[in-house]
Amino acid sequence: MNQRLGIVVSGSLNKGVEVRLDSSASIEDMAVGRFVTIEGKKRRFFGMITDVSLEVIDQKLTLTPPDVSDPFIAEVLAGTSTFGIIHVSPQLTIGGDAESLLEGPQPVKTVPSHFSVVNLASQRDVELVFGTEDEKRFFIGTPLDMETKVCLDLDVFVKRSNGVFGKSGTGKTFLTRLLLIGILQKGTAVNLVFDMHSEYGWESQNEQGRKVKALKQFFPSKVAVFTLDEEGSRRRRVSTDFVVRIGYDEIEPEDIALLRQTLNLTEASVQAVYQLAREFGDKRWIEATLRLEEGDETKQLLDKLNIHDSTYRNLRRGLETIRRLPFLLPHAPDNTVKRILEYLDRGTNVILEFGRYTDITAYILVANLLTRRIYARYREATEQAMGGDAMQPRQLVITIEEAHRFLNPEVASQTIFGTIAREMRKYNVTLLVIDQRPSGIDSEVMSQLGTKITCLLDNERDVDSVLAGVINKSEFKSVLSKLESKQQALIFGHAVPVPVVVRTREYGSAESYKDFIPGEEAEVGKQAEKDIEQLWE
Amino acid sequence: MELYGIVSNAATTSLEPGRRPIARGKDETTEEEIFRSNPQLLKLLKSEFGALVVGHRQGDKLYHHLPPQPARIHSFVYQCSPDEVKEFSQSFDFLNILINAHLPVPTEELISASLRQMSQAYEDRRAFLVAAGKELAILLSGDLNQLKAILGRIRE
Repeated sequence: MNQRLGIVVSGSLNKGVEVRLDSSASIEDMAVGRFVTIEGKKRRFFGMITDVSLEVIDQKLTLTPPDVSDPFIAEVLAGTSTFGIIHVSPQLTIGGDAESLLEGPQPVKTVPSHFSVVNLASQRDVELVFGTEDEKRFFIGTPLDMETKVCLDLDVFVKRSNGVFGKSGTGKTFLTRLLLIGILQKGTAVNLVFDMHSEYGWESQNEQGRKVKALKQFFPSKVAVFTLDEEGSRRRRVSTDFVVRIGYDEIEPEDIALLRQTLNLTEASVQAVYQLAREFGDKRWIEATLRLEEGDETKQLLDKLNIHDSTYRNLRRGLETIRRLPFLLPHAPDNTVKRILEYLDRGTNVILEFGRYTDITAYILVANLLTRRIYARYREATEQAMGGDAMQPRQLVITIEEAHRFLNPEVASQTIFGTIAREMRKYNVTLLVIDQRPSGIDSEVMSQLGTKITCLLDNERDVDSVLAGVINKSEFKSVLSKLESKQQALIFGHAVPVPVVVRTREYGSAESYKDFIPGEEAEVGKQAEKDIEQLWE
Repeated sequence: MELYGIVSNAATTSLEPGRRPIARGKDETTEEEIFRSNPQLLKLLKSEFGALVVGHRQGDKLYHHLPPQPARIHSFVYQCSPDEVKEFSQSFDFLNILINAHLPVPTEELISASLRQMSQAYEDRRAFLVAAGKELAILLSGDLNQLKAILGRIRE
């Protein structure tokens, strides 16, 4: 049954419509973010409550308030002399005729006529808009005060770069785990996760100290855990597939350029890196530079390259910091990039745990270094595919945390992640950006993110940057800042037809795990069926 | 055609216009005895009441506005039965006539008295009064003092 709320009294397409509440509808039951339908004359509108306000019919009432301690007076005045107004921003139209039913919900281009009736959206309306769970759609959560499932079209989702934002402790990690599980379950893409805090591969603890399972435990055959910190992983009893070691010879000048801020290098030092690389060769330059000793020979070399002594010292200090990272060796025993690509080509998802190296220098260095190589390979593969020689490489989603370190305005133009966010969509690589300070991310990159999922944010600048480019920004601002600090998120952008506030689906209990596995079993079943078919051929 | 009216005024006066009744019964102990010792009084005094027409019935239909013709002279007047009151008060359109009437009695007194009377035809008197109150709140949105006065008089 539709619950009638009131009637449309004014509004505009830009600013949304004002709905006067019936006296039977309590204003205290209205919550920003809830869905409503408006029954226009020709079509139905689907919208979201973005603001709630109190109105009086005559200003005198506010000056001499009536005696509402008398229930009779209070009941008479409610809904007549005093009434509530909800502000609704119409998002979609659901046509009444057969043709528009086939087309599905369309973006709004007009507003409902005066005094159209406004109802609370029914479960069916929400299903009509968000679809039901199927091969491509993943159940991410439920709308506020409803049991309906909000589904994310993951096929569409992975085609663009996306962002998960929120203050620390608002559930970004849980949300990201859910998304990754969804992508794995539906098989729409293969993932590479740079797991700074070792939370995605194997079980970790939540804030209450309970253990929470992670990807490898759900999909053991589809997930490979790579680690930089073998000991740490072993202590946590994680079954790792590969221990990552990186050789000095794999570090290129561009990798150092990206670390400029974290290593506190000057612009001149970065230039010096390129000069040294030209002098010693791309493979040997770090080793050679680190081997330089105080003396005339070095001085001559620096003079020759026109590198100032202070610049050299600055660079040297930076390189020493890198050298202290234990997973860096002069020569790596195995080629990590090759291994990762092998796994990815096979459709196995790779989670790279950083273990105890949560230091940002290590994270940026490794993430950037690996991604640059993978980028190059994907580009090559896609271009070959365009030439008709090969298959398109699998859609790849790279998950990075602390994204503002890679994508801040100063480095976004240089780092590989900036490039991916801007244009790698064409080469089947997209990013899943996780960050708590979205204001630190370059606005150009932010504007390219397809779907943004944001938990509570209260810093004005962060809210602004997340909502940049959204129509009716101020309305969503009020929704965003009123989110609960746990398990609630605003999803908007490419993969959802309308912005939606969801209570994210449960994660962490035994029952919640059950729902993740069936997809896996179904897949096994499908594979078995396929095998049987092949046998008969 | 039946006309519906609400009693808006009542008075007992002398038959002769302009003549005022004289005080009597100085030595009597009860009011009845005054009439017993002055039987002519019953013939010299008359009681009149005025009713404000608020609607009419034509055939089966009830209208909450004024009839096309006034009541004919010598038409009989009846008191409405509770069922009729209930039927008539299904719509509050007559309230507007009451609000705009120019009467010797204060409007809010008339409105509240008629609503109190009508409510007695209902089992749930409060619900009726709340509904009437809501209608008044809209009609009297520009005159909150009058609204307050009426609400104060009809609340239980």
